[in-house]
Amino acid sequence: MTAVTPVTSADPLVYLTVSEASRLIAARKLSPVELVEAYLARIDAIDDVVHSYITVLADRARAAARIAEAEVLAGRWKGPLHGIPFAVKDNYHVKGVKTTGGSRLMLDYVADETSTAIEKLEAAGAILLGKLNTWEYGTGTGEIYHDLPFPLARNPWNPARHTGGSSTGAGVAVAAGTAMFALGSDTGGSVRLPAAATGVYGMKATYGLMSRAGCLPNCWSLDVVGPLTWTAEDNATVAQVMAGYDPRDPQSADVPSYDLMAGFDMGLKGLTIGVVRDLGADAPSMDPDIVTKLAETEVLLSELGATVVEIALPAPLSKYRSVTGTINWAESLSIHEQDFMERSHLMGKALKDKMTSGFTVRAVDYVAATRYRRQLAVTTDAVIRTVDAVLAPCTFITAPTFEDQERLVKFTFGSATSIFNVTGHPAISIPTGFDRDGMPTSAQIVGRYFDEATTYRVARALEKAAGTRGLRPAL
Amino acid sequence: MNAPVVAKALHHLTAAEASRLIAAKAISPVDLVKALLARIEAVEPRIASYITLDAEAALAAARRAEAEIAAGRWKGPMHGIPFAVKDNYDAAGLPTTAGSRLSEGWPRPDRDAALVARMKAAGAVLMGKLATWEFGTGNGGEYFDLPYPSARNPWHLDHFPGGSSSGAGTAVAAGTVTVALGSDTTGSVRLPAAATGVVGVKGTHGLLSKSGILANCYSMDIPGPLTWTVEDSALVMNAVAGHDPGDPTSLTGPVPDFRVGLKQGVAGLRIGVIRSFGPGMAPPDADLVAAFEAGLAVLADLGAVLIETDFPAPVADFYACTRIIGPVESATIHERELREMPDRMGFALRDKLMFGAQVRAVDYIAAQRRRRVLAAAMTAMMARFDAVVTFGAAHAAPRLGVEPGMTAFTTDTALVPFNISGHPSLVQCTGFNAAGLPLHWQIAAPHRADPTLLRVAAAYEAATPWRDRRPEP
Repeated sequence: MTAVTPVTSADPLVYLTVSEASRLIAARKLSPVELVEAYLARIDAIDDVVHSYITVLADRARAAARIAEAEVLAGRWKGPLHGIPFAVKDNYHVKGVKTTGGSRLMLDYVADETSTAIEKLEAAGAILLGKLNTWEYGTGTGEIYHDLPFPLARNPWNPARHTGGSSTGAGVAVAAGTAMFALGSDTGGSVRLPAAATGVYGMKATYGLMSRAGCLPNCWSLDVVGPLTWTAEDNATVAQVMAGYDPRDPQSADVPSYDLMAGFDMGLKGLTIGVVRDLGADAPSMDPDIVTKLAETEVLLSELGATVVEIALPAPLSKYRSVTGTINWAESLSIHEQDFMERSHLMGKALKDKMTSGFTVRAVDYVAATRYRRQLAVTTDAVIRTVDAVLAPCTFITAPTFEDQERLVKFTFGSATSIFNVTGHPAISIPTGFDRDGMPTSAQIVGRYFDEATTYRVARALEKAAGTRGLRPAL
Repeated sequence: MNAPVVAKALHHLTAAEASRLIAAKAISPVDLVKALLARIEAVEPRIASYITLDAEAALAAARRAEAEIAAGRWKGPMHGIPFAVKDNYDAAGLPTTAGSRLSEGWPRPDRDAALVARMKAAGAVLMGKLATWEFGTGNGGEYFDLPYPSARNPWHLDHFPGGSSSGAGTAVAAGTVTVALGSDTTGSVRLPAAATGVVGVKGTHGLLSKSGILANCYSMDIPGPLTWTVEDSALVMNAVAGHDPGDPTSLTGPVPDFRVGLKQGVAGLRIGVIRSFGPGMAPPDADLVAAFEAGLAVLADLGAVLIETDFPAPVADFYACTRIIGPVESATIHERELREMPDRMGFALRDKLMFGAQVRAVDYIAAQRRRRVLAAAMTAMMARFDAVVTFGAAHAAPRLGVEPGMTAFTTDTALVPFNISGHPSLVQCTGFNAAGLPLHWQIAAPHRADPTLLRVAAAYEAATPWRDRRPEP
């Protein structure tokens, strides 16, 4: 596999992790102003290639950076996100700023509210750089038709390749250094797939842990928001701020707050990790390099002291997929029905195809799917509760080229991500290395409900042992 | 203190009366069951309140209760009290017919529904299973095409006894059982109560377990008692309410004593008054309106503070939601039967399912979303009051199977807003019309304020003479 350290034009500041930058800011060795300028310069330099952004909020970010700098200098350091630049998928609302949803239907829409996630992060001192690229309304069929109003985001590891969707700009921004961390949203994998495509960490927390208030919905009953970061530690740090009950989101879980980094550095001794190897006879085939990396990860778990046991999910992947298909098509159409009837010529083909599918779903099939979802959630949870955490495949192939429509669909829908949207368990996509083409490989670590802490602990132990974080894309 | 005197026919004793006599050993549970069996023999051929009567088991249970009480092990006010359940509840060893040919050949359940088990644990004596529309549902009409005879209104045998718990109101009013349990999706406890002049309670959603009751519509079904008096409903609620892990929608948290307000009167209570159903639905009949106004005067005399209010949206809007949600969820439950043996269904069920099977998912989702908005608006409205008084149905019981009166009775109602919102509500008798058929109104209360609901109804009941008259079918 690739051993060459790529040449990069990047200012080293943009490749700091959140925790590294945070320590420097707290120690007043780095100013938030300096950091934000480095990112804005990086965006200027390379976003014409990777197109991670739809909207850059340079003035807003500079103003926030000056305030953060003053606060830190005045001794009012707010914590690990103070002065940290981030960006959000363009389905998060920011009051007074356009939310396009990546759609021609919303090109002129200015939000009149700010999403809870952004409110919380800004209250913690983080600095919003802008709005990131996305598939139209965070949804699609997996196919790419080059028919959306903004240029296609491109993979920094190889711009001829897919970025993962639907949070197409989020993984790119973190990997390429156009944001220190990013927020995406995940209905069937839209945080974890971009993370997998670009070699970063993407967390889909327990359904209900993080408020979705102020974000455009794709499918209420499956949507989850989540952070994409360069390291496991960064991810837990951001997730901790995003977590918590919010009455503005009717599905928000009213649970006591808990420490997402409990046991973070305790290693794996004493943990039992279940491994899901078989996703059913009708599951898509897995590329050999992905298989190899999963096997290596299993071995690593054992070497780190975990007890590794094979577990079997109660149903093949195809059953989970059938549930998310029916529910997602129907709920998405329910959101966009009027636009579909009146202005479908403004929709991209991927969204339009999905709307058409939604039109054919009968109510009894939707109800049957929601009932089956509950049954799958209960039976899957019974399996997950037999172990401390689970190692499962994420994508079955690495990011394909934009020319390969068949593999584009396979990357999105031939993955194991949607299983945990159906069940609601926390699942984090972790990088496991690179394939023979130098593209990132991935796996998922899955936890019990509201036990993100153990998934982070496992991700952290693997990250330390594998040492893959030093390599950045050659841009 | 004088020895208790049994002043009326045993089959017309309320549970509270019978309980006091049993506790005082003036009568025995065996006497009570025998009296009911005699009453059943006398009137059941005309009213058809039961699908399955289990006389032997009832007598055996009554003898056990008698022995326990004689031995000083009185379990409480339900001990020895006869009850019956709509035939969509499971009772161990008895067939659950659901009033349907589709149930032919089903194995008999080996477990009691949670509420049956709780009644039995409280010492109550199960008499049998009561008449119901097929699977507790339909299209609002009556087509005389089910495998069991249609239950009849004991006040007037040509009239409808309400549905879908069609045998429950009839049995309580006619004295073929002391207390009954039914289920209510869009009014199926309260409509029979309205038609037969009894009390029908739909408590706060989640208080009473649905475990072991055949589903009609997952997201709206609620079980509830039908009784002659408000106090009896409180006694039944006390026996059966409470968390059940076997029902995923069951509420947790403390369960109140439902009797606590029965004698407290209504002085000082803020009671909202809703007179209008809003556009899109027939207004209530003049005799119901007159009884309603007279009832308000009673509450005002008792010191209640009456405040005009309104539903937050036309009742027709609430109906628009349930008319999608109900048929869809029923069709989900019966989809295979609809495909494979629709000829074995009655028309009312088949008609409903044929519609439900064709609804698009987006329309169902839109109905659920609208429901949520309406429920929130209802909660905001209800929060301003201790209780709300409004109409139930817009008509008295119609002639059985005669349209358009039949469907109008089941669909021109203000019952549905409280199914949408989940607020506790009940129907009680407010007098009689010229034909001698019961009139009624509906009372509702905020979430978990069931004791206040019963308090208002009990005060009205105590101040009016309507409990003195019984039907003689």
